[in-house]
This record gives sequence, structure tokens and C-alpha cells, in this order.
Amino acid sequence: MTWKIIQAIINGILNGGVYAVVAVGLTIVYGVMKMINFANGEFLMLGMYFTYLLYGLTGWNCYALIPLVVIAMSVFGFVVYKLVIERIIGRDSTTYIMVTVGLSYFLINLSQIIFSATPVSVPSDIKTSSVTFGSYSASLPRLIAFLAACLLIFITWLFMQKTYMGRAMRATSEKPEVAQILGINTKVAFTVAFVLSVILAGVAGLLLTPIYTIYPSVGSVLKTTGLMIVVLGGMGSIPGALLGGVIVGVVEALVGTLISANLGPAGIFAVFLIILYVRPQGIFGKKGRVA
Amino acid sequence: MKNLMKRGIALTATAAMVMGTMGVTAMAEEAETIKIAGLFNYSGANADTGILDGDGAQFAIDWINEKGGIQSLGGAKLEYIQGDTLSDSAQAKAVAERVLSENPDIVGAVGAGGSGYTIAMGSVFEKNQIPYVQNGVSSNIPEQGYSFTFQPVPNVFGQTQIEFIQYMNENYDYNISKVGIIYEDTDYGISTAAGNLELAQEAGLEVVFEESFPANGSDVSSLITNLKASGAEIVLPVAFTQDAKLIFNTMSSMDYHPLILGGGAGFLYPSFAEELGDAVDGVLSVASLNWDSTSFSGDFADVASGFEEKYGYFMSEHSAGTFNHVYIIAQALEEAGTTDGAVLADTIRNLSIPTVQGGKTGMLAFDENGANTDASPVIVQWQKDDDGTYRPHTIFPENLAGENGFVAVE
Amino acid sequence: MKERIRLTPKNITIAVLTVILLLIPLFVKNNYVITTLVYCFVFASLGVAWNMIGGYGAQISWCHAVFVAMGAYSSMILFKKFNVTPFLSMFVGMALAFLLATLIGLGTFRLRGPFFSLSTIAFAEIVRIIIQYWGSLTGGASGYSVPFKGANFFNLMFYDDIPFYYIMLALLAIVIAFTAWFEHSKNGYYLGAIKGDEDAAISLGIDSFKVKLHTFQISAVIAAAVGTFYGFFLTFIDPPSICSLDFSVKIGIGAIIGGIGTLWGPVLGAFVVNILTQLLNSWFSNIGGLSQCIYGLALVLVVIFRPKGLISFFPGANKSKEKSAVGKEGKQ
Repeated sequence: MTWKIIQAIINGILNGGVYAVVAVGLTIVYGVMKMINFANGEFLMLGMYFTYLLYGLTGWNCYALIPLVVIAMSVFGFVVYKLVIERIIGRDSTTYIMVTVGLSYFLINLSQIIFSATPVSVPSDIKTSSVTFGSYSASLPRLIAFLAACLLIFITWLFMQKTYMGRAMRATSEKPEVAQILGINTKVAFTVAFVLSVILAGVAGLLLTPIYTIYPSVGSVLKTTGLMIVVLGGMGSIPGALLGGVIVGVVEALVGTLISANLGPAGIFAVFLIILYVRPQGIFGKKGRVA
Repeated sequence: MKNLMKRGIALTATAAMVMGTMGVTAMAEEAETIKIAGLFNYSGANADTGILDGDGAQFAIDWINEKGGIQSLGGAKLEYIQGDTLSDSAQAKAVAERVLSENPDIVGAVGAGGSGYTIAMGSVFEKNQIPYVQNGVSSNIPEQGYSFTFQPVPNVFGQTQIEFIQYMNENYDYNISKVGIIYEDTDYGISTAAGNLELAQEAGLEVVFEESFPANGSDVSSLITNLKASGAEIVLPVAFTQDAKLIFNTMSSMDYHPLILGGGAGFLYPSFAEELGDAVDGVLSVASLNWDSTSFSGDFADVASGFEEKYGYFMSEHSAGTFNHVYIIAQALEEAGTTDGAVLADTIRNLSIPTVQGGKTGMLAFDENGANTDASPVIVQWQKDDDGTYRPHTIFPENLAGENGFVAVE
Repeated sequence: MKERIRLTPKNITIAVLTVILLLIPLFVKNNYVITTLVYCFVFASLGVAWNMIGGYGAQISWCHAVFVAMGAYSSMILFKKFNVTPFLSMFVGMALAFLLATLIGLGTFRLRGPFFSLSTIAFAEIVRIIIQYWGSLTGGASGYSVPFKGANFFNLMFYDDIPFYYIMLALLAIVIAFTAWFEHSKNGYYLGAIKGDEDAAISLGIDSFKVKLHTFQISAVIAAAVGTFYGFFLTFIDPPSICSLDFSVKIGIGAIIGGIGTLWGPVLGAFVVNILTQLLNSWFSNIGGLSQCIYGLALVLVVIFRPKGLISFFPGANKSKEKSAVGKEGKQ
């Protein structure tokens, strides 16, 4: 029993890293643009396909492809921003949701037309490797994804705290009108926030290629969980995304191991609702307005 | 005001036009070919299986046409009409209605990649009196009591799996006593795993673990943690591609290596072997039918090789199944010499012919609810062929096993 | 404030369309057209119900599938197990939907921002997982189907879809009439005021929490009633098709594409979305994914270029709404 619980917590923390890296992009666009992005899972899916394509071209280890995937995703993110998102800046949150829902249908099915629906995968030497300590084990690709998630989240946090652009983005997220008066180009801040979130989703996709097969609707696996984590951690909070991800991962693993694997996801949503009732602004969130 | 009136008229006219288009497309021109509809999930979440299904049906049409079409109808050629059920069973009924209204001359249909779709569409075929031969494996389907819906594939899998475990114990000294059963919580998973628990216990095996898990979840670690703790020596998993990969890799990463006797689906797809690489060697699974069974001989000797040549991947369970279903409709047409739906359905019900499905005797035998009482599943094992490609080979039961026998694995 | 029915172009159009819809089954013998229109009526009714809270209240719900599932499951189970006519058992589903809506609303309507929307997603997922887990009652992932016990109006069982056509059309008419009344009810005006400026509304003594909660409850109950009929129309339901986020989103899409906050927008949107889906699927079925790809693109384009929805092509159609916006200020 103890073995089961400890192993479940290990599994949960590692899976939480996967969740966190998905959630961090969501939380940035929400924080800066107040945009709930329903197409984030599809950006992640594209990151996986870019990894697959680039692997086919270069034959490099998937982790070595990170810079190339970052470039590909930033171009893609910029194009999506210019063609779609820029036109709806300043509209209400429903508009963002609808546009990203439409975008998600479009991208899933476009990928099916281009890549077919047959799952593919990126070969990796480590996909069944694990790190063991005593009788406990941790899957190596998940461990790498977890550590990379922590690193990415730290870099993003540094960027938001220490650079001019990061501060401009935070100012924009607090009060766009005031930021504008202070001479901050909010349009640039929005563009950077969106492209950054697309890049993060793409890198998340890359990190997941040793774990999952790649097919057009793979993003939907993590869609709702990502949104839950963003709220749990506090909307717009970057460290919150990491902590939220880990909490969700551990709860899911414990419920899944001790009660039923079928109820694991229900555990996530139950914790979400409890936190929402008790502390609606999320763990790291600033106090929101309460009616 | 006038402008408003105009807009009102425009709206009415647009509505009328849309209705009109739907009506016009409904009146398709009379063709000399015989139309067979294939309703599969060509898009959406289950599109990967939809493609395998569709390729099998399309191949059957071409195969029959190359052999001269339907002789008793003057060598009439078959034509494939593709319908996309969008991986949404609530839409399946509308899709079936649409395909039939656009092509009123459809004489038979194959489908649908899941029992939910079939149950939803069954009433449409019933009403239109069109025989519908489908690949859902759930025993819910014959229980609907439809008289135009047929299920040539087996709907009991556990029996064969348990018999095979006993066969291994008796002939290869495996001494397996602890069985773990895991299946995805979908209709497919439930149907395939149904009865496994009782059958295993009756056979004197100890079922140490039995649990379902949510399909397409992000992680199966909890499940595998419990499974490993239970000490199961052989695991009977039912899962599609993504979960099959997760199960397999998670077991390896936890240094847990039981025998795996998969429940079809994800364990049989070409992409499964591609994903696992050499690790797929020796993996076992149950299947409705398999391309190198003895049933693929005689008239059907060129089917599997012809399919692989045309599509670039071996003929998997899904493709072989839909091939067979089109073939059954074609044979009924041949025998009945008419395209009348009611006559065709009767002909299919009474067909007693060898098909690639194989089974206890190898001859089709539908009961009054359209279930094939002769069908029995096979056990396959992934083995490397001379061309370096892994394919599943039929190894059990003996009357259906191909040339390669069972290769004992650790 | 009673409104007389006047002979405006809008009313004439509505009357003409109603007559056409009533006559279609007499002339169109193609069951596909009938089936498609039944789907349109169902989604239109659900869209109008969704629009109460989503449009008039600006509280976007992504859990209306749950209410539909409550109606469908409870009626189908009661029919199969105890032979209860759906006309009675629909009230069970409606009661369940009322309870669930209360539960969701109590926790989230006190918060502003996207919390309500997101928590509806979480709630819906929990309910879906429970329905799937509770297989002994609901059939779980294998789904639930009602056996055909011969054509009988009280069992909602017919040999073809034409009776359903009229039932769903009648249901749609009732839902629209009710919503038209609701728009001008006290609750409706308060809701408009809250949507316009919540703080101002509260300072004028409106209990915004209560108003939103009541509206959500009404919207949920209507969705459950529609769900009963939809379930019997489908005859087979399973959690992924009737209790999923995808289904909830589809209900919302129709309303938003049509134009939220208007009476006729969701109706127009449901017709456009359903007929477009069918036509695209028919035209492009030979390339898997193409029809849904174009559908997604169309969605994006409509939202970008028609921010007020397709109903804005018909400037007269949302007049009543504008009037109510004026009315709300007058009332306060």
C-alpha cells in the first residue's frame, strides 16, 4: 500500500510537469490578453508534427530539435496572430473562445488532410527507459519533460520579471489603458504574449513526442485539464501553472490508483471546484473582484 | 421598410434554395453500376480506424470488379459511395439518411467502426430495406433485433483468449496462473473484455486484477502501478493506438514484463509495430480475423498481398473485416440475381459460403438476428518477416493458424 | 407592457416561414430533409435556451449538454425500466437539471470573470464521468437505447420522423414564445441591466446573483425538456455524443454564430450550422477532414467579420432587443 501511494505520487508529479508545460502558455495569454484559448491543444499537436517533420529531415534526437521547433512555432504563431487574433483584439471573451474553437476545428482537420489520421511517432531511444531508486521508478521521458517544464517556466518567469518587454506585458495585463498612456505599445505586448504561448505549446508538444503517438486530435487529451490548471494556479500566474499542474497530476494519480482509474479525471475537476469555492482567485492569483 | 421586406423574401428564398439543393442532390442519375455505401469515421477522433475500414471496403470493390463484377447481373460493376460519420454517433443517423437520399439506388451498406454508430443507423437501413453488413463487435447489435443488419465478425473474444492461455500452459510449460484484465472504458473495450473474468475463473486461472480505464487519458501509470502490484503474469489489455503505446511503454519503464495478449484494435494496427519497433516482436493479441489465416486461401489467396501492394501496409483486422463485408453483399447479389433489398437480406441470412472470416467450420451462418454463429476469433503473434517488416501472424486455433507457428516468448 | 402583434415585415416573414415549415412534410417525401430539419429544430430550441443565460446574461455556459443528458437519460431509463411515458418522465429530467444548475450557479455566480464558464466545463466533465462510471444504471460507455415497442404517440415512437418533425417544431415554437415573454419579464430586464453595467445594477438594488441564478435554472430546465425528446428521437445515446464538451460547444456555436442576445439569432444560427454541416459533409466527403476544416474556417470568418452574428444581416430582426435595452433604462 505504501509502495502504491508513493509510486502514485511520483507518477502524479511527473505527469503534473506535462500538464504544467501545457498550462503555462494558456496562463500567459489569459494574463496579458484575457483570452481563453481553446486551440492550445492544437498548437501542441502542431509542435508534435513539426518535431516529426524535422526529425525526418535531420534525424536528430528530439531534444536537439528544440531551437528549430521554436523557430517554426514562432513563425506559425506570428502568422496566426496577424491573420486572426489581431482582428479581434479588444472584443469580448466569447469572441476569443469562438475564434479559437473554430481555429481548433480548422487545424485538426487541416492536419488530417496533410498528415492523414494514421498515428505516427518520433523514434526515441529513451521512451521505455526509467530511473529507478529502490523499488520505485520514474519514466525517463516524463522526468525530462518535468525538468524541462520547470526550466521553461523559470525562463518565462525571468523574462516576465526582468526584461523590459516582460514588464510591459505585465503592465498591459494589469491595465491596458494605463500602460498605453505610459508609452507601452500594447499591440506589441499582445503579439509577444500570443507568440510566446504558441512557442510554449509547441515545445510542450516536442517534449511529449516520446510519450504519445502523434495524430490530428491528440491535443484534445489535454484540453480541459489545461484550463483547470490555469484557474487552480491563479489565472495569469506562471509559478501557479507549475504548482497547479503538479497538484492536478498528483490528485489524478492518487484517485486513479486508490479508487479507480476511471475516476482519476473526475478527481481533477472536483479539486478544481473545491478550490474555486474556497479560493476563487487561485493559489497564486491576486484577489479577484467578488460580486 | 421595403428593404426589410426584401430581406425577408431573401431569407425565405435562401431557405427554399438550400432545401432545393438537398432535394436535387437527392435525385442522382440512374447509373449502370451497383452502389454500395461505406459509412465510416473518415474524420474526427476515430479517423485512423476509419481509414483502415474504408481502404478495406474500397479494395473489395476493386477486387470484385477486376474479377468481372457481378456475373448474374450481366457483369455489373460495383461502385463505392463514401459517407463520413464524423466520429459522432449523434450524427450517424443523419449521415446514413443523407447518403441514401443522395443515392437512392444504393443496394447495400457496410459500416461503421463502432456499435454506437451501427445502433443509430440500423433503423435507417431497416426502414429503407437495405442490407447493412457491419463490423461492430458488441453483442448489443444483434440484440437490437434488426433484420437488415448483419454481424459477420465474432462478438465473443474471451473464450479464445482463455483457451490460448491453456494451450500455452499445456504445450509450452508456461504455468500461467495469474491473469490481469485491463480494458478501455468504451463500448469496444467492454464488449471485448466481457466475460473474460468468469471464463478465466472457470478455466482455473486466478484473475488478480480487473479494471477499466478512461480511453485517451494522459497517463496510465496508476493503472500499471496497480497491475504490477497484483503480480499478473499475463495481461489481457484492450486499447486503441494511443493507450496501447502508453500501456506498453509504461510497463517497460516500470520494469514490468508480463506476457501481453492484447484485445485486438490498437494491438493490431500497422502503426503499433511502427511505434514499438523491435519491442513488438512476440506480442500476442486476439483478432476477429487475420490476413494469413487459412481462411485467406483458395479464391482469397491474392487478397492480403494485393491489399498490401496497393496501400503500402499489411491488411489489418479492420481492412480485412470490411473487405469481407463487401464481399458478402457481392455474393448475395450474385446468388440472388437481383438488387431488391428484402431479397438480398434474405439471401445474406441464408448464405453458407466460405469467406475470409473463417471460423469453426469456415462457412457463414447467420442466425435470425444477423449474428454469425460460425465466427470465432484468432490469436495472432507479431513476428518479423523476411522483408524485415513485423506483421501479426495467425497462430491459434489450429484450424485457422497460418504457416508460422507460435514462437514461445519469455 | 403588452405588445400587440403588428403586421411588420418581420412578423410577415416569420408567419410565411412558419407556414412553409408546417407544409414541408406534406410535399417533401425525402426523409433526409425531414431528419435534417428535426436536428435544426432541436439545436434551435437548445440555442434559444442557451441564449437566455449566454446571450441575455452574458454568462457563457459550456455545460448545457449535461442538462440535455439529464432529460434524455432519465426519460429513457424510466421508459425502459418502468414503461413511464416520456411526457411524464420529462419532469424528472427537468428537476435534475434544476438541481444541477443550482449547484453550479451557487458557487460561481458570485464571481466575475471567466470563472462561471470554466467551472461549467469542470462540472460537465464530472457529470459525464459519473454517467459513464455508473454503468449499471446508464449503460456506461456502451450507451443506452430504448427498444422499439410499436408506434405510439405517448411513447414517442413512430415509424418515420414526420411526427418528430411536428413535435420538435411545436417545442421550438413554445421555447421561442417563452423566451419572447422572458425578454420582457422583470427578470429579463434586470438581466439586461446587469449585462450592461453590473455595478450600476447592483447599486440600484438588483440582486444580480439571484437574477443570474434564476435565469440559469430556467435555461437548464428547458434544455432538459428538449433533451427528453431528442433522446427518443435518437433512440441511442452515449456519454460522448450527448454529454460531452463538444456537444455543449456545438449548442453555443449555433447561438453565437446566429447572434447572441437576440431572440431569432440562435434560431438562424442553428439552421445555418446544421445545414452547413450536412452540405459540407455531402460535398467533401471524399477527403476525410475537409468538410470540418472548412466548417472551422467559416466559424472563424463569421466571428471576425460579423461580430454581432448572422442576424445582423437582417437589421429588423433584433429590434425587440434594442427596445428592451431602452426599456431597461426606463425601468430603472
